[in-house]
Amino acid sequence: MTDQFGRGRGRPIRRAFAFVGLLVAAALLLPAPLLAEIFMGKNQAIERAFPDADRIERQTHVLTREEAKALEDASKSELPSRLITIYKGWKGDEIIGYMHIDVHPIRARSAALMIVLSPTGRVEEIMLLAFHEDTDYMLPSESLDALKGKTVGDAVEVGVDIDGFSGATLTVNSTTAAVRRALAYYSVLLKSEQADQDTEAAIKPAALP
Amino acid sequence: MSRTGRAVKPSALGLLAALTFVAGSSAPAIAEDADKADIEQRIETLESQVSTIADEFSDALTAVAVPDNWNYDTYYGVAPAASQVYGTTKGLSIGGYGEVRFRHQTASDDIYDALRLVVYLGYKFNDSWVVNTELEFEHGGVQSEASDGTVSTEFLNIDYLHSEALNFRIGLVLVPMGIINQVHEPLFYRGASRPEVERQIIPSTWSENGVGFFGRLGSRIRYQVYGISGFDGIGFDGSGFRGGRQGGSKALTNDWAFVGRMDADVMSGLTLGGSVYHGNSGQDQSIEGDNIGSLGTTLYEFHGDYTKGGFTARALFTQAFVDNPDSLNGALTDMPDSGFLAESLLGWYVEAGYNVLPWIFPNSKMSLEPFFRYERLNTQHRMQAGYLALPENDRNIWMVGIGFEPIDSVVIKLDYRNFSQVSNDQTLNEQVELGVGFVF
Repeated sequence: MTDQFGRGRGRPIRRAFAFVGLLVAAALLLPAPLLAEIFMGKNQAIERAFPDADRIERQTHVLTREEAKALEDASKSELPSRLITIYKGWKGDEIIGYMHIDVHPIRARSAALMIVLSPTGRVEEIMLLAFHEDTDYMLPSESLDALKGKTVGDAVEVGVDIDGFSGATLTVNSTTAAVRRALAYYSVLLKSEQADQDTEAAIKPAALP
Repeated sequence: MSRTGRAVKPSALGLLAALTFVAGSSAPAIAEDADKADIEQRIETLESQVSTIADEFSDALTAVAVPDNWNYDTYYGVAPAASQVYGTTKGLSIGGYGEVRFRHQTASDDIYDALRLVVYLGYKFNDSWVVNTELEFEHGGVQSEASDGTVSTEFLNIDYLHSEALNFRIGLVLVPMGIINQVHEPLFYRGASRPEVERQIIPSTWSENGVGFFGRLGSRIRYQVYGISGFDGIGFDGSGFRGGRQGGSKALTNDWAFVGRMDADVMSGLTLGGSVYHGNSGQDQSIEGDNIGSLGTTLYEFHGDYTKGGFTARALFTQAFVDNPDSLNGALTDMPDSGFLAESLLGWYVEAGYNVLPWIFPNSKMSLEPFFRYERLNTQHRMQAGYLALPENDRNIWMVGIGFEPIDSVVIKLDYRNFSQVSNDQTLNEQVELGVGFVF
């Protein structure tokens, strides 16, 4: 029913109110959530990375320009910083894994990814710690799982190892770049240390009486 | 010492050497007088100091994005000042985008346009209060006799972030309809021009003053609901709703509208969504004493977005209804060039593209994407009794083109677009466009 000016079509408005009411009810009934952009603190991430470690060691590498360039070439990405901090989880005399927090820009704001590597340089876990861009640019967590299992030598490419996401191209690219960087850090900064440790372990039994 | 890349401890040797060199004249004397144990002690001290500095710097760089500890309870149970974990991520942010476009066309003059220069300015006061703005210079800037340029605030969001599921927004908001209106940076749509369906029926870029809320329901569903200033229907005509947009400047609010939107990440790479708008557009306005009526306007759309590997596709369907458009059309003294306002408008489009560059250069970070788009647009789908539709308002639009991204933030687009009249298949216009866009 409408008046002379076409006023009074009430059903769409009632439907709109019902729609709004349902959304509000659904939103309020959900369990208490956290802020969208920070999911885990640094210390909690370190604990999560090495649940079985009896000690965790941090090592900050200060790279020269040449070393940074070599890592950029190896990872096909720009290093966000020439200070690289790697956390090592130890159990007894054995390294049980490495963890790096990669803070990188997405568009105008930053994101932080935790990347955990096994002692052999395999991506064991990758997790978004913080995302300060509009959440429309954020990747679903399942898509990060596709990058687990990558090792040194894998190309880690968009469209091959992880699907592209329309509207989130920058995020996909920066995520794959972060994983390539972590693998390059392992290959260039950590692998030789791991080899030394393996050699020591191999020599020890022979030295015993 | 590792061969490539050094942990801090060994590098202190180099630093000590540098410091002693800089120290200049005293260095030789120290070297001669100090015994070996003393030097080793000083090296150890320096190593420790440099290590501390490097760790502190590294922590500071990480803290820009991630606080040391994140305690969910403090967010709900303690005042912000007591919640130090929120303090690391506040402050100013700056971003933006821009695009230029050259268009050669058969139906009108060739145009080379500094289409848009946009600056995003945002400020996060704390973890609850955020202001985000978009300032846009369109067509080269300020309007004058020689320029159609404009400067405008495209959105001005004042957000209160309550939780992931429920957040509040007031200000000049981008109306949450369609694919393009809220995400319209040049890297995120194909071709140098946006789809006509999302210009004429969903009049992108469309922003209105409003208030509402938004959030995520679970990990897959996003929603937005706003009450906004309704269209100013006095600007409607046979071409659609573009002329009815109010923007932020002293918007009439005699009539309000409601708009709601929901998007669901159905599976990896596939997003489906839809939105509904309803409100009167009359705004109690008159033309030479004739009230234009309430012009109740309802608009809905469904859209989908799919990405798999290098393949991407989009589709959108939209329809709009206007109650009793005669109350406007009858008040006009002449028919507008684009015809009278219709009772119903209808449009849809599909588009797809594929990044072919990995076939040629598997490790390339660049992108080269051929694409096509087909649109069907009828802005006079159904006319009120007594009014005739103009046949040229029922159109097929084809576009084929290619987009090249040499780096993540820059795109170069080349395309061909053909507009034809559905009734007789006559070509109305052909365009060849070259566009360059960027985001930062």
